[in-house]
Amino acid sequence: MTTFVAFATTDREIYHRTFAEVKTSVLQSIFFLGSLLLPGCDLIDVHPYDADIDGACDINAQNIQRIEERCAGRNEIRIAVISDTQRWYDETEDEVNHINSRGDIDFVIHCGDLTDFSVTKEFEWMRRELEKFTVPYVVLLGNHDCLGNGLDLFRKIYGAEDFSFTAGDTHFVCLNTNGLEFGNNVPDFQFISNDRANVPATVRRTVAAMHCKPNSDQFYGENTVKFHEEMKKYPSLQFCLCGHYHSTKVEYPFDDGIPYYQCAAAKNREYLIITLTKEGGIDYEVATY
Amino acid sequence: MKSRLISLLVLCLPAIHTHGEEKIWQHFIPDHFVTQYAGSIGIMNFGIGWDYYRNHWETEAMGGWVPKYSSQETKPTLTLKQRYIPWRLHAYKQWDIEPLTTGMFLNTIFGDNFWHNEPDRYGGSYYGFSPKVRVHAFIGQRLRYNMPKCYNSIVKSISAYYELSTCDLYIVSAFVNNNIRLSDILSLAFGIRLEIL
Repeated sequence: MTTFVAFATTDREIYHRTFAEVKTSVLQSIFFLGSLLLPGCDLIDVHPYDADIDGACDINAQNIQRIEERCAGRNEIRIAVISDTQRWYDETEDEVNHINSRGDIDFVIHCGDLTDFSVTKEFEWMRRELEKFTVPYVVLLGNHDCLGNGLDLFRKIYGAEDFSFTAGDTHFVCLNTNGLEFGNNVPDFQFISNDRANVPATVRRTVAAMHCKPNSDQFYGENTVKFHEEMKKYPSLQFCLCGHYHSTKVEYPFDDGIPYYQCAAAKNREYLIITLTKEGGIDYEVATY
Repeated sequence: MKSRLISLLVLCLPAIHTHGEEKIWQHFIPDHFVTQYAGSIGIMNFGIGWDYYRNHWETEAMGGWVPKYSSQETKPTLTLKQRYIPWRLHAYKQWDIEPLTTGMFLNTIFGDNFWHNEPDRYGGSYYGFSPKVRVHAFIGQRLRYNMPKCYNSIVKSISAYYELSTCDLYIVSAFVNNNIRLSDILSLAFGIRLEIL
Protein backbone atom coordinates (compact mmCIF):
# COMPACT_ATOMS: atom_id res chain seq x y z
CA MET A 1 0.00 0.00 0.00
CA THR A 2 3.05 2.26 -0.03
CA THR A 3 2.45 2.82 -3.74
CA PHE A 4 -0.88 4.49 -3.02
CA VAL A 5 0.66 7.13 -0.75
CA ALA A 6 3.29 7.92 -3.36
CA PHE A 7 0.60 8.36 -6.03
CA ALA A 8 -1.55 10.56 -3.86
CA THR A 9 1.35 12.75 -2.73
CA THR A 10 2.66 13.24 -6.25
CA ASP A 11 -0.75 14.13 -7.60
CA ARG A 12 -1.47 16.58 -4.82
CA GLU A 13 1.75 18.38 -5.60
CA ILE A 14 1.27 18.43 -9.34
CA TYR A 15 -2.47 19.00 -9.54
CA HIS A 16 -3.00 21.26 -6.59
CA ARG A 17 -6.05 23.41 -7.32
CA THR A 18 -8.16 25.73 -5.32
CA PHE A 19 -11.64 24.49 -4.54
CA ALA A 20 -13.17 27.16 -6.82
CA GLU A 21 -11.05 26.04 -9.80
CA VAL A 22 -11.97 22.41 -9.34
CA LYS A 23 -15.63 23.28 -8.89
CA THR A 24 -15.62 25.24 -12.15
CA SER A 25 -13.99 22.45 -14.15
CA VAL A 26 -16.30 19.80 -12.70
CA LEU A 27 -19.40 21.89 -13.40
CA GLN A 28 -18.19 22.52 -16.95
CA SER A 29 -17.71 18.82 -17.63
CA ILE A 30 -21.12 18.01 -16.12
CA PHE A 31 -22.78 20.66 -18.31
CA PHE A 32 -20.95 19.27 -21.35
CA LEU A 33 -22.07 15.69 -20.70
CA GLY A 34 -25.54 16.93 -19.79
CA SER A 35 -25.90 18.73 -23.10
CA LEU A 36 -25.09 15.49 -24.90
CA LEU A 37 -27.79 13.67 -23.01
CA LEU A 38 -30.70 16.07 -22.78
CA PRO A 39 -32.32 15.22 -26.18
CA GLY A 40 -33.44 11.83 -24.86
CA CYS A 41 -33.36 11.24 -21.17
CA ASP A 42 -34.11 7.52 -21.19
CA LEU A 43 -30.56 6.55 -20.34
CA ILE A 44 -31.18 3.72 -17.93
CA ASP A 45 -30.53 0.52 -19.84
CA VAL A 46 -30.55 -2.47 -17.52
CA HIS A 47 -29.22 -4.84 -20.18
CA PRO A 48 -29.33 -5.02 -24.01
CA TYR A 49 -31.49 -8.15 -23.57
CA ASP A 50 -33.50 -6.90 -20.59
CA ALA A 51 -36.90 -7.12 -22.39
CA ASP A 52 -37.86 -3.95 -20.48
CA ILE A 53 -40.28 -2.29 -22.85
CA ASP A 54 -43.11 0.18 -22.53
CA GLY A 55 -45.09 2.22 -25.03
CA ALA A 56 -47.37 0.91 -27.76
CA CYS A 57 -48.17 -2.80 -27.41
CA ASP A 58 -50.50 -5.33 -29.05
CA ILE A 59 -50.17 -3.35 -32.27
CA ASN A 60 -51.35 -6.07 -34.70
CA ALA A 61 -54.73 -6.54 -32.99
CA GLN A 62 -55.42 -2.79 -32.98
CA ASN A 63 -54.39 -2.40 -36.59
CA ILE A 64 -56.40 -5.44 -37.70
CA GLN A 65 -59.48 -3.77 -36.28
CA ARG A 66 -58.67 -0.64 -38.32
CA ILE A 67 -58.05 -2.75 -41.45
CA GLU A 68 -61.32 -4.64 -41.10
CA GLU A 69 -63.27 -1.40 -40.59
CA ARG A 70 -61.50 0.33 -43.46
CA CYS A 71 -62.00 -2.52 -45.94
CA ALA A 72 -65.48 -3.71 -44.86
CA GLY A 73 -67.67 -4.52 -47.85
CA ARG A 74 -64.89 -3.79 -50.36
CA ASN A 75 -64.00 -6.07 -53.28
CA GLU A 76 -60.78 -4.30 -54.29
CA ILE A 77 -57.82 -4.10 -51.86
CA ARG A 78 -54.39 -2.54 -52.37
CA ILE A 79 -51.60 -3.54 -50.00
CA ALA A 80 -47.96 -2.57 -49.61
CA VAL A 81 -45.53 -5.32 -48.61
CA ILE A 82 -42.29 -4.51 -46.80
CA SER A 83 -39.80 -6.87 -45.17
CA ASP A 84 -36.42 -7.30 -43.50
CA THR A 85 -36.04 -3.77 -42.16
CA GLN A 86 -33.52 -4.85 -39.53
CA ARG A 87 -30.83 -2.27 -38.73
CA TRP A 88 -31.88 -0.12 -41.72
CA TYR A 89 -33.71 2.58 -39.79
CA ASP A 90 -32.96 5.41 -42.22
CA GLU A 91 -34.22 3.35 -45.17
CA THR A 92 -37.29 2.25 -43.20
CA GLU A 93 -38.13 5.88 -42.42
CA ASP A 94 -37.94 6.71 -46.14
CA GLU A 95 -40.01 3.64 -46.95
CA VAL A 96 -42.73 4.63 -44.45
CA ASN A 97 -42.78 8.20 -45.79
CA HIS A 98 -42.97 6.94 -49.37
CA ILE A 99 -45.93 4.67 -48.59
CA ASN A 100 -47.65 7.42 -46.55
CA SER A 101 -47.29 9.89 -49.42
CA ARG A 102 -49.01 7.58 -51.94
CA GLY A 103 -52.42 7.72 -50.33
CA ASP A 104 -53.73 4.68 -52.27
CA ILE A 105 -52.64 1.91 -49.87
CA ASP A 106 -55.23 0.18 -47.67
CA PHE A 107 -52.72 -1.39 -45.30
CA VAL A 108 -49.14 -2.63 -45.01
CA ILE A 109 -47.80 -6.12 -44.31
CA HIS A 110 -44.30 -6.40 -42.83
CA CYS A 111 -42.94 -9.90 -43.56
CA GLY A 112 -40.62 -10.09 -40.53
CA ASP A 113 -37.06 -9.41 -39.37
CA LEU A 114 -37.60 -6.15 -37.55
CA THR A 115 -34.35 -6.62 -35.69
CA ASP A 116 -30.92 -8.02 -36.37
CA PHE A 117 -30.02 -9.24 -32.87
CA SER A 118 -33.40 -9.20 -31.03
CA VAL A 119 -32.00 -6.56 -28.68
CA THR A 120 -34.71 -4.65 -26.76
CA LYS A 121 -33.65 -1.27 -28.15
CA GLU A 122 -33.90 -2.59 -31.73
CA PHE A 123 -37.57 -3.42 -31.13
CA GLU A 124 -38.09 0.10 -29.76
CA TRP A 125 -36.23 1.82 -32.58
CA MET A 126 -38.07 -0.12 -35.30
CA ARG A 127 -41.43 0.49 -33.63
CA ARG A 128 -40.56 4.22 -33.56
CA GLU A 129 -40.27 4.12 -37.39
CA LEU A 130 -43.24 1.85 -38.10
CA GLU A 131 -45.55 3.85 -35.85
CA LYS A 132 -45.14 6.72 -38.35
CA PHE A 133 -47.38 4.81 -40.81
CA THR A 134 -50.61 6.70 -41.40
CA VAL A 135 -52.20 3.48 -42.72
CA PRO A 136 -52.65 0.39 -40.54
CA TYR A 137 -49.90 -2.21 -40.65
CA VAL A 138 -49.33 -5.75 -39.39
CA VAL A 139 -45.98 -7.34 -38.57
CA LEU A 140 -44.91 -10.99 -38.94
CA LEU A 141 -42.22 -12.75 -36.94
CA GLY A 142 -38.84 -13.17 -38.66
CA ASN A 143 -36.07 -15.53 -37.62
CA HIS A 144 -33.86 -12.66 -36.40
CA ASP A 145 -36.69 -11.54 -34.10
CA CYS A 146 -36.64 -14.73 -32.02
CA LEU A 147 -33.08 -14.69 -30.66
CA GLY A 148 -32.65 -14.15 -26.91
CA ASN A 149 -35.96 -12.78 -25.52
CA GLY A 150 -37.12 -11.70 -28.98
CA LEU A 151 -40.21 -13.87 -29.11
CA ASP A 152 -41.47 -12.49 -25.77
CA LEU A 153 -40.94 -8.94 -27.02
CA PHE A 154 -42.61 -9.63 -30.36
CA ARG A 155 -45.64 -11.12 -28.61
CA LYS A 156 -45.89 -8.15 -26.27
CA ILE A 157 -45.45 -5.44 -28.92
CA TYR A 158 -47.23 -7.01 -31.91
CA GLY A 159 -49.11 -10.06 -30.63
CA ALA A 160 -49.33 -13.75 -31.58
CA GLU A 161 -46.95 -14.97 -34.27
CA ASP A 162 -49.76 -16.75 -36.18
CA PHE A 163 -52.78 -14.59 -36.95
CA SER A 164 -55.36 -13.92 -39.63
CA PHE A 165 -57.90 -11.28 -40.57
CA THR A 166 -60.42 -10.55 -43.27
CA ALA A 167 -60.17 -7.36 -45.31
CA GLY A 168 -63.28 -6.92 -47.48
CA ASP A 169 -63.67 -10.11 -49.51
CA THR A 170 -60.11 -11.34 -48.89
CA HIS A 171 -58.78 -13.47 -46.05
CA PHE A 172 -55.17 -12.85 -44.97
CA VAL A 173 -53.28 -15.61 -43.11
CA CYS A 174 -49.97 -14.56 -41.49
CA LEU A 175 -47.78 -17.39 -40.26
CA ASN A 176 -44.60 -18.09 -38.34
CA THR A 177 -42.46 -20.24 -40.67
CA ASN A 178 -39.09 -19.89 -38.90
CA GLY A 179 -38.27 -23.59 -38.75
CA LEU A 180 -34.64 -23.14 -37.68
CA GLU A 181 -35.86 -21.41 -34.52
CA PHE A 182 -38.94 -23.50 -33.76
CA GLY A 183 -38.07 -26.86 -35.32
CA ASN A 184 -40.84 -29.03 -36.65
CA ASN A 185 -43.47 -27.08 -34.66
CA VAL A 186 -43.81 -24.51 -37.43
CA PRO A 187 -45.77 -23.99 -39.53
CA ASP A 188 -48.51 -24.63 -36.98
CA PHE A 189 -50.84 -26.88 -38.99
CA GLN A 190 -53.32 -26.94 -36.11
CA PHE A 191 -53.64 -23.16 -36.31
CA ILE A 192 -54.07 -23.37 -40.10
CA SER A 193 -56.90 -25.92 -39.95
CA ASN A 194 -58.67 -24.07 -37.11
CA ASP A 195 -58.38 -20.79 -38.98
CA ARG A 196 -59.64 -22.33 -42.20
CA ALA A 197 -62.68 -23.66 -40.40
CA ASN A 198 -63.52 -20.12 -39.30
CA VAL A 199 -63.15 -18.23 -42.56
CA PRO A 200 -66.26 -16.01 -42.97
CA ALA A 201 -68.68 -17.02 -45.72
CA THR A 202 -68.21 -13.63 -47.45
CA VAL A 203 -64.57 -14.45 -48.27
CA ARG A 204 -63.92 -15.16 -51.95
CA ARG A 205 -60.11 -15.31 -51.96
CA THR A 206 -57.12 -15.84 -49.64
CA VAL A 207 -53.60 -14.41 -49.34
CA ALA A 208 -50.88 -16.03 -47.21
CA ALA A 209 -47.91 -14.16 -45.71
CA MET A 210 -44.82 -15.60 -44.03
CA HIS A 211 -41.19 -14.73 -43.38
CA CYS A 212 -39.57 -17.82 -44.97
CA LYS A 213 -41.02 -19.53 -48.01
CA PRO A 214 -41.47 -23.33 -48.08
CA ASN A 215 -38.41 -24.06 -50.23
CA SER A 216 -36.13 -22.03 -47.93
CA ASP A 217 -33.49 -23.10 -45.41
CA GLN A 218 -36.07 -22.69 -42.62
CA PHE A 219 -38.46 -25.46 -43.72
CA TYR A 220 -38.12 -29.08 -42.72
CA GLY A 221 -38.47 -31.75 -45.42
CA GLU A 222 -42.04 -32.99 -45.53
CA ASN A 223 -43.44 -29.66 -44.27
CA THR A 224 -42.56 -28.00 -47.56
CA VAL A 225 -45.18 -29.73 -49.72
CA LYS A 226 -47.64 -30.24 -46.87
CA PHE A 227 -47.65 -26.51 -46.13
CA HIS A 228 -48.48 -25.51 -49.68
CA GLU A 229 -51.18 -28.18 -49.94
CA GLU A 230 -52.75 -26.95 -46.69
CA MET A 231 -52.72 -23.34 -47.90
CA LYS A 232 -54.44 -24.35 -51.13
CA LYS A 233 -57.38 -25.67 -49.12
CA TYR A 234 -58.26 -22.06 -48.25
CA PRO A 235 -60.84 -20.41 -50.54
CA SER A 236 -59.09 -19.49 -53.79
CA LEU A 237 -55.47 -18.95 -52.64
CA GLN A 238 -54.18 -16.04 -54.77
CA PHE A 239 -50.52 -15.74 -53.82
CA CYS A 240 -48.06 -16.03 -50.93
CA LEU A 241 -45.88 -13.22 -49.57
CA CYS A 242 -42.44 -13.77 -48.06
CA GLY A 243 -39.18 -12.04 -47.19
CA HIS A 244 -36.00 -13.44 -45.62
CA TYR A 245 -33.80 -13.43 -48.76
CA HIS A 246 -33.44 -9.63 -49.05
CA SER A 247 -34.23 -9.50 -52.78
CA THR A 248 -37.31 -8.99 -54.93
CA LYS A 249 -38.36 -12.18 -56.69
CA VAL A 250 -41.44 -13.89 -58.14
CA GLU A 251 -41.43 -17.69 -58.00
CA TYR A 252 -43.83 -20.52 -58.74
CA PRO A 253 -42.10 -23.21 -56.62
CA PHE A 254 -44.92 -25.77 -56.99
CA ASP A 255 -45.70 -25.12 -60.70
CA ASP A 256 -49.39 -24.73 -59.97
CA GLY A 257 -49.86 -21.09 -60.96
CA ILE A 258 -49.65 -19.80 -57.35
CA PRO A 259 -46.89 -17.21 -57.08
CA TYR A 260 -44.64 -16.56 -54.09
CA TYR A 261 -43.86 -12.84 -54.07
CA GLN A 262 -40.57 -12.32 -52.26
CA CYS A 263 -40.07 -8.80 -50.89
CA ALA A 264 -36.62 -7.19 -50.73
CA ALA A 265 -34.92 -5.87 -47.60
CA ALA A 266 -35.19 -2.16 -46.78
CA LYS A 267 -31.55 -1.61 -47.77
CA ASN A 268 -32.56 -2.34 -51.41
CA ARG A 269 -35.05 0.53 -51.19
CA GLU A 270 -37.76 -1.56 -52.82
CA TYR A 271 -41.18 -2.73 -51.68
CA LEU A 272 -44.19 -4.38 -53.30
CA ILE A 273 -47.60 -2.94 -54.10
CA ILE A 274 -50.20 -5.58 -54.83
CA THR A 275 -53.77 -4.88 -55.85
CA LEU A 276 -56.44 -7.53 -55.55
CA THR A 277 -58.81 -6.22 -58.20
CA LYS A 278 -62.58 -6.38 -58.10
CA GLU A 279 -62.50 -8.55 -61.24
CA GLY A 280 -60.55 -11.14 -59.19
CA GLY A 281 -57.13 -10.44 -60.72
CA ILE A 282 -53.77 -9.45 -59.22
CA ASP A 283 -51.81 -6.31 -60.09
CA TYR A 284 -48.19 -6.67 -58.97
CA GLU A 285 -45.84 -3.70 -58.89
CA VAL A 286 -42.38 -3.10 -57.43
CA ALA A 287 -41.97 0.38 -55.94
CA THR A 288 -38.59 2.03 -55.39
CA TYR A 289 -37.90 5.03 -53.20
CA MET B 1 12.91 -34.40 -15.74
CA LYS B 2 9.37 -33.56 -14.61
CA SER B 3 10.21 -33.87 -10.91
CA ARG B 4 13.32 -31.75 -11.41
CA LEU B 5 11.19 -29.00 -12.96
CA ILE B 6 8.75 -29.10 -10.07
CA SER B 7 11.49 -28.87 -7.47
CA LEU B 8 12.99 -25.92 -9.35
CA LEU B 9 9.60 -24.18 -9.27
CA VAL B 10 9.20 -24.86 -5.55
CA LEU B 11 12.68 -23.44 -4.91
CA CYS B 12 11.81 -20.32 -6.90
CA LEU B 13 8.48 -19.64 -5.16
CA PRO B 14 9.83 -17.77 -2.10
CA ALA B 15 11.77 -15.55 -4.50
CA ILE B 16 8.62 -14.21 -6.16
CA HIS B 17 8.23 -11.00 -4.21
CA THR B 18 7.26 -7.58 -5.38
CA HIS B 19 8.30 -4.97 -2.85
CA GLY B 20 10.43 -7.32 -0.84
CA GLU B 21 7.94 -7.90 1.95
CA GLU B 22 4.76 -8.51 -0.16
CA LYS B 23 4.03 -12.07 -1.20
CA ILE B 24 2.46 -12.75 -4.58
CA TRP B 25 -0.79 -14.10 -3.09
CA GLN B 26 -1.36 -10.77 -1.37
CA HIS B 27 -2.00 -9.21 -4.77
CA PHE B 28 -5.10 -11.36 -5.10
CA ILE B 29 -6.74 -9.89 -2.01
CA PRO B 30 -9.35 -7.44 -3.36
CA ASP B 31 -8.60 -3.76 -2.80
CA HIS B 32 -12.17 -2.58 -3.09
CA PHE B 33 -15.82 -3.58 -3.18
CA VAL B 34 -18.23 -2.15 -5.70
CA THR B 35 -22.01 -1.87 -6.17
CA GLN B 36 -23.43 -0.65 -9.47
CA TYR B 37 -26.94 0.18 -10.62
CA ALA B 38 -27.82 -0.38 -14.33
CA GLY B 39 -25.24 0.37 -17.03
CA SER B 40 -26.29 -2.48 -19.40
CA ILE B 41 -24.94 -5.21 -17.09
CA GLY B 42 -27.96 -5.88 -14.84
CA ILE B 43 -30.22 -3.91 -12.52
CA MET B 44 -27.99 -4.32 -9.43
CA ASN B 45 -24.43 -5.60 -9.52
CA PHE B 46 -22.01 -6.43 -6.73
CA GLY B 47 -18.34 -7.15 -7.08
CA ILE B 48 -14.74 -6.95 -5.99
CA GLY B 49 -11.85 -5.09 -7.57
CA TRP B 50 -8.09 -4.71 -7.63
CA ASP B 51 -6.13 -1.46 -7.88
CA TYR B 52 -2.65 -1.42 -9.34
CA TYR B 53 -0.02 0.54 -11.18
CA ARG B 54 -0.05 3.58 -8.85
CA ASN B 55 -3.84 3.21 -8.65
CA HIS B 56 -4.22 4.31 -12.24
CA TRP B 57 -5.70 0.94 -13.23
CA GLU B 58 -8.51 -1.09 -11.74
CA THR B 59 -9.98 -4.47 -12.58
CA GLU B 60 -13.40 -5.43 -11.28
CA ALA B 61 -15.41 -8.64 -11.33
CA MET B 62 -19.14 -8.21 -10.75
CA GLY B 63 -22.21 -10.40 -10.56
CA GLY B 64 -25.71 -9.09 -11.06
CA TRP B 65 -29.11 -9.92 -12.41
CA VAL B 66 -31.66 -8.77 -14.98
CA PRO B 67 -35.29 -8.86 -13.79
CA LYS B 68 -37.63 -10.69 -16.13
CA TYR B 69 -39.66 -7.66 -17.27
CA SER B 70 -41.56 -8.89 -20.37
CA SER B 71 -39.56 -12.12 -20.68
CA GLN B 72 -40.06 -15.50 -19.02
CA GLU B 73 -37.24 -15.49 -16.46
CA THR B 74 -34.83 -13.49 -14.33
CA LYS B 75 -31.31 -13.81 -15.75
CA PRO B 76 -27.98 -13.72 -13.88
CA THR B 77 -25.03 -11.83 -15.40
CA LEU B 78 -21.27 -11.60 -14.86
CA THR B 79 -19.08 -8.62 -15.72
CA LEU B 80 -15.34 -8.10 -15.99
CA LYS B 81 -14.38 -4.42 -16.06
CA GLN B 82 -11.06 -2.75 -16.77
CA ARG B 83 -10.80 0.91 -15.79
CA TYR B 84 -8.15 3.59 -16.34
CA ILE B 85 -8.02 6.68 -14.12
CA PRO B 86 -5.55 9.19 -15.53
CA TRP B 87 -5.88 11.90 -12.87
CA ARG B 88 -6.94 12.39 -9.31
CA LEU B 89 -7.42 16.00 -8.25
CA HIS B 90 -7.50 17.05 -4.64
CA ALA B 91 -10.66 19.07 -4.22
CA TYR B 92 -11.33 20.03 -0.62
CA LYS B 93 -10.27 18.59 2.72
CA GLN B 94 -10.88 14.84 2.43
CA TRP B 95 -12.46 15.08 -1.01
CA ASP B 96 -10.81 14.12 -4.30
CA ILE B 97 -12.21 14.25 -7.80
CA GLU B 98 -11.35 11.86 -10.57
CA PRO B 99 -12.51 13.89 -13.59
CA LEU B 100 -12.21 11.01 -16.04
CA THR B 101 -12.53 7.28 -15.73
CA THR B 102 -12.58 5.21 -18.88
CA GLY B 103 -12.27 1.62 -19.96
CA MET B 104 -14.07 -1.41 -21.25
CA PHE B 105 -16.08 -4.27 -19.84
CA LEU B 106 -17.26 -7.68 -20.91
CA ASN B 107 -20.66 -8.89 -19.84
CA THR B 108 -22.18 -12.33 -20.10
CA ILE B 109 -25.82 -13.22 -19.52
CA PHE B 110 -27.10 -16.67 -18.57
CA GLY B 111 -30.24 -18.26 -19.98
CA ASP B 112 -31.32 -20.99 -22.37
CA ASN B 113 -31.67 -18.64 -25.33
CA PHE B 114 -28.28 -17.01 -24.85
CA TRP B 115 -25.67 -19.07 -26.64
CA HIS B 116 -22.06 -18.22 -27.28
CA ASN B 117 -21.37 -20.76 -30.02
CA GLU B 118 -24.27 -21.10 -32.41
CA PRO B 119 -26.30 -24.29 -31.78
CA ASP B 120 -25.73 -27.13 -34.26
CA ARG B 121 -29.10 -26.62 -35.94
CA TYR B 122 -27.74 -23.50 -37.67
CA GLY B 123 -25.06 -25.58 -39.36
CA GLY B 124 -22.07 -23.30 -38.81
CA SER B 125 -22.12 -19.52 -38.78
CA TYR B 126 -25.65 -18.31 -39.47
CA TYR B 127 -26.02 -15.19 -37.34
CA GLY B 128 -22.33 -14.42 -36.89
CA PHE B 129 -22.59 -12.97 -33.37
CA SER B 130 -23.27 -14.15 -29.84
CA PRO B 131 -26.28 -12.92 -27.83
CA LYS B 132 -24.47 -14.11 -24.69
CA VAL B 133 -21.36 -11.91 -24.59
CA ARG B 134 -21.28 -8.14 -25.04
CA VAL B 135 -18.28 -5.82 -25.21
CA HIS B 136 -18.83 -2.31 -23.81
CA ALA B 137 -16.78 0.88 -23.60
CA PHE B 138 -17.39 3.66 -21.08
CA ILE B 139 -16.37 7.06 -19.73
CA GLY B 140 -17.29 8.44 -16.34
CA GLN B 141 -16.37 10.57 -13.36
CA ARG B 142 -15.82 9.83 -9.70
CA LEU B 143 -16.02 11.71 -6.43
CA ARG B 144 -13.94 10.27 -3.61
CA TYR B 145 -13.98 10.76 0.15
CA ASN B 146 -10.77 9.70 1.90
CA MET B 147 -11.47 8.43 5.37
CA PRO B 148 -9.51 10.48 7.92
CA LYS B 149 -6.65 8.41 9.39
CA CYS B 150 -7.80 9.10 12.96
CA TYR B 151 -10.98 7.03 12.36
CA ASN B 152 -8.81 3.89 12.06
CA SER B 153 -11.49 2.54 9.75
CA ILE B 154 -11.01 -0.54 7.60
CA VAL B 155 -12.59 1.52 4.82
CA LYS B 156 -9.88 3.68 3.32
CA SER B 157 -12.10 5.68 0.96
CA ILE B 158 -15.64 5.83 -0.38
CA SER B 159 -16.26 6.87 -3.99
CA ALA B 160 -19.45 7.58 -5.89
CA TYR B 161 -19.33 7.32 -9.65
CA TYR B 162 -21.37 7.47 -12.78
CA GLU B 163 -20.46 6.05 -16.17
CA LEU B 164 -21.84 6.35 -19.68
CA SER B 165 -21.33 3.28 -21.79
CA THR B 166 -22.32 1.73 -25.07
CA CYS B 167 -21.89 -1.74 -26.52
CA ASP B 168 -20.89 -3.45 -29.77
CA LEU B 169 -24.47 -4.08 -30.98
CA TYR B 170 -25.52 -0.47 -30.29
CA ILE B 171 -22.49 0.91 -32.14
CA VAL B 172 -23.10 -1.19 -35.26
CA SER B 173 -26.72 0.02 -35.25
CA ALA B 174 -25.87 3.69 -34.81
CA PHE B 175 -22.96 3.66 -37.21
CA VAL B 176 -25.08 3.10 -40.31
CA ASN B 177 -28.13 5.17 -39.30
CA ASN B 178 -28.62 8.90 -38.80
CA ASN B 179 -31.90 8.01 -37.08
CA ILE B 180 -30.09 6.42 -34.17
CA ARG B 181 -28.91 9.28 -31.99
CA LEU B 182 -26.13 9.29 -29.43
CA SER B 183 -28.70 9.39 -26.62
CA ASP B 184 -30.27 6.21 -28.05
CA ILE B 185 -27.14 4.16 -27.55
CA LEU B 186 -25.78 5.56 -24.27
CA SER B 187 -26.39 3.76 -21.03
CA LEU B 188 -26.04 5.41 -17.62
CA ALA B 189 -24.71 3.62 -14.54
CA PHE B 190 -24.37 4.76 -10.93
CA GLY B 191 -22.06 3.09 -8.46
CA ILE B 192 -20.46 3.15 -5.05
CA ARG B 193 -16.93 1.91 -4.44
CA LEU B 194 -15.47 1.11 -1.02
CA GLU B 195 -11.69 0.95 -0.83
CA ILE B 196 -10.44 -1.23 1.99
CA LEU B 197 -7.09 -1.40 3.72
